[in-house]
Amino acid sequence: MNKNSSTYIIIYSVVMVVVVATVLAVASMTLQPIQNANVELENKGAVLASVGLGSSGDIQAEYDQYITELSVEAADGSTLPLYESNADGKRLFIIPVSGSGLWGPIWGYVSVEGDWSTISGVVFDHKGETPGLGAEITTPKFTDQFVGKRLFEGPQLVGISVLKGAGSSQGNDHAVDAISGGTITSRAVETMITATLAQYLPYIEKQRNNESVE
Amino acid sequence: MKALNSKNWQYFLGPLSKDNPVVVQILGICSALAVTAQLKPAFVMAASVVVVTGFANLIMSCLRKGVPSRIRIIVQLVVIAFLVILVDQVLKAYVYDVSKQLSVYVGLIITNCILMGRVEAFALGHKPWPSFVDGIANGVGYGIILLMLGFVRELFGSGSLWGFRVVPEAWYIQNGGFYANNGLMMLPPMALILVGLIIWVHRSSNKDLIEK
Repeated sequence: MNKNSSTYIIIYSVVMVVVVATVLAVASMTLQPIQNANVELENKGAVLASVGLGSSGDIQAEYDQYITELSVEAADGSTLPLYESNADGKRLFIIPVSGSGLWGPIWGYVSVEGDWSTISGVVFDHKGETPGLGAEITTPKFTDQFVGKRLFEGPQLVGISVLKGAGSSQGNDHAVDAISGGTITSRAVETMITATLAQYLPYIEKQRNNESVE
Repeated sequence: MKALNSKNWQYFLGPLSKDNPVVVQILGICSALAVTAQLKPAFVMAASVVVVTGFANLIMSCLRKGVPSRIRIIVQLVVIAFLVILVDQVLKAYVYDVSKQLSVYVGLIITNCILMGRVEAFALGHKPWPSFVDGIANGVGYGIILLMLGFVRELFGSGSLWGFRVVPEAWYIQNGGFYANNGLMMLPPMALILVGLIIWVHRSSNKDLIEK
């Protein structure tokens, strides 16, 4: 048979594509549940990490024990997720944040104390930031800086600024040091927090007013 | 046929040094610059490439008698893409944290010139087993360079290896010491300079590589 005849080529490519597509589809469907479980467990781990839990190894158990899932109505009427953690009698609220980094999406969880302003912990993650540069937003060296910083100044939402240069945020309650070489991703973190909090603002303000009345 | 007779052994040893895909054939430079800022992603990338080069060569060699030569490049691409997607899926399911570290670069194995190069130059003209050996060896040859780059870049760029701190915190200027990480090491251009240095050393120690 002539291997360069059009009929042969067409039959060959059709068969090849069908075989490859079938194998990939089967592989994808078989592995999908495991992958989804990984993603879900990772999210739960991140929620726990933002409040300083989740080190025991059994993330599912800890999550079930400490975390309550809430939902909040946003300014535009849509529903936003919110988590509440209750460990050692301390109530913390965990706000999921998301935005875009330099190469792809970045996201994370910001946990605040009962005053809705003081940050008790953050975790960040990313899809494809540069290893060693933007990807450093996930490291404790960056995230630990957020602890104790405040999102609000009085009634005003100011967010957390990310400043260039090591030590430049010293003594500033609303700023952290950027990652050198990862300026765009660092700025993206700043934008992400402010933009996401703006969505939660009506709810947070309500909560804060209730708090002060009490 | 003996599994590793002298000829197959040569197929295996060649790409490790004298016929190294990165520093002699100058293939796969792009990903060698992208994923080597740290040692761990460099290692997993290298391992993934070894798997894909090995099996791409094996599959193409098995298919070589039936592939219509007019569409052979497309067939090669489909086989390579197929393997890369499979590797990506498996990594996501079983070593999720590592697959996250590599993120887009696993998908970019498809565009790694070593793959097409070996399939086209070797697998289409050789039997399956030698092709498999050649694929694995080229993957390993690529991996060696990646690990060398990852080692130097992480050590001098971040002061750590495999994520573990090597340079003591107290040495750093901000902690009152005398040391600072070399920021250039974290950037791809420095990787290119390092590759250049490796090529230089490699050529001076292998005189027969130098063109007359």
